[in-house]
Amino acid sequence: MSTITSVISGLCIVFGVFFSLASVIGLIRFPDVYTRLHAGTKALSGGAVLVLIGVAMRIGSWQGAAKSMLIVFFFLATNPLASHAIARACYRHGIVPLGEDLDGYGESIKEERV
Amino acid sequence: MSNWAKKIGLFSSLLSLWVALTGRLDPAFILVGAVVSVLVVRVVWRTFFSGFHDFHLGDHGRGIRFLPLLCFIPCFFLDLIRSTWEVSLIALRPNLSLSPSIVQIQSGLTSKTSLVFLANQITLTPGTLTLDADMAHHRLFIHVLTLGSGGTKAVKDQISQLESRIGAITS
Amino acid sequence: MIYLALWGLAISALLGFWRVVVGPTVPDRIVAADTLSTILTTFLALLSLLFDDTVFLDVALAFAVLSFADVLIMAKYFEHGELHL
Repeated sequence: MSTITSVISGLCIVFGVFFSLASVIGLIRFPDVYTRLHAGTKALSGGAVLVLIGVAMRIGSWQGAAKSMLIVFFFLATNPLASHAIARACYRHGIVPLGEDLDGYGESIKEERV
Repeated sequence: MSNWAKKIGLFSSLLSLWVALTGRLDPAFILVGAVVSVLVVRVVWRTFFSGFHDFHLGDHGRGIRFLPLLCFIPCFFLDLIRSTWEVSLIALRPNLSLSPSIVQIQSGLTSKTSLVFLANQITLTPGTLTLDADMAHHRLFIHVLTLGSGGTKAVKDQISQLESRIGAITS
Repeated sequence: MIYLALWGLAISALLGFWRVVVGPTVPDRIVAADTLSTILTTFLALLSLLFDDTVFLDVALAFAVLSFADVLIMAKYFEHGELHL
């Protein structure tokens, strides 16, 4: 393994772990469910993707790299979906978000139910 | 006979994926892979391809353009890293200054595939998260983490930029 | 360096577990559980580097798929109070 790949993959792993830590700190500090979703989805999927890319560079065998990239694409496809499902379930269950509802989302759901 | 062609194509691609990922060429391994592939084809066929649910995979007749897709991937990774960076900065800042709000977007994209793609992208770009989608009227409801001084205008501009990128791929 | 990364991930998993225990409402716990599963997947990938064995990546892949289904089912159950499968 050349030095350049080693350095780049090391940087990827370190930054990924840092982003994971930051997102968990955000998960603890943010005030309500929706903002916590922001921390738990975006920051964490970015961190996980960085760590997995670093692992794919370092692992040596190309099957390992292919599996790692497979996990990356799976994360990118499914993490937003999971967060969307949770947010929608929260709103329909009646948990009111902080901040203002600018364009009448609540009314549009009420219309749907009638 | 196009059904059989599709089945055999699916089966052979699954089997080649198996061989590529296990990396062994023993007959026993390939036999196990073939059995698993047949099972997967049987399960997947009833759900997605038989027309049982009246559910179309992709938009038939309008393909995906590959050159814009290739240009799209690096942009997408940059966006992902940037959004991660911004959220972690907000999380690590000593005083939390959040101003969350919900914004409605009237999307210009009409096909289901590109709308789902757009919702996915919105969740992965900085500061926005898709709350709900109204597929019939092409509306998306978006939760914004920090509504800056630009107001809803800035968010809508950012999303219309994404929209034009996705439109270039799937139109 | 891999040990450092593993320690960082372990600490973040502990903090996330604190949110699972404390979380005032049910969806908070769901979000935190989702976070934990993502952290665990990256942990498994790093273990495959540490032991130089790709079987951990297989485990990580299966775990990612299962945790996605898990979160979807939890969200659906939370929304309707029962499962409409």
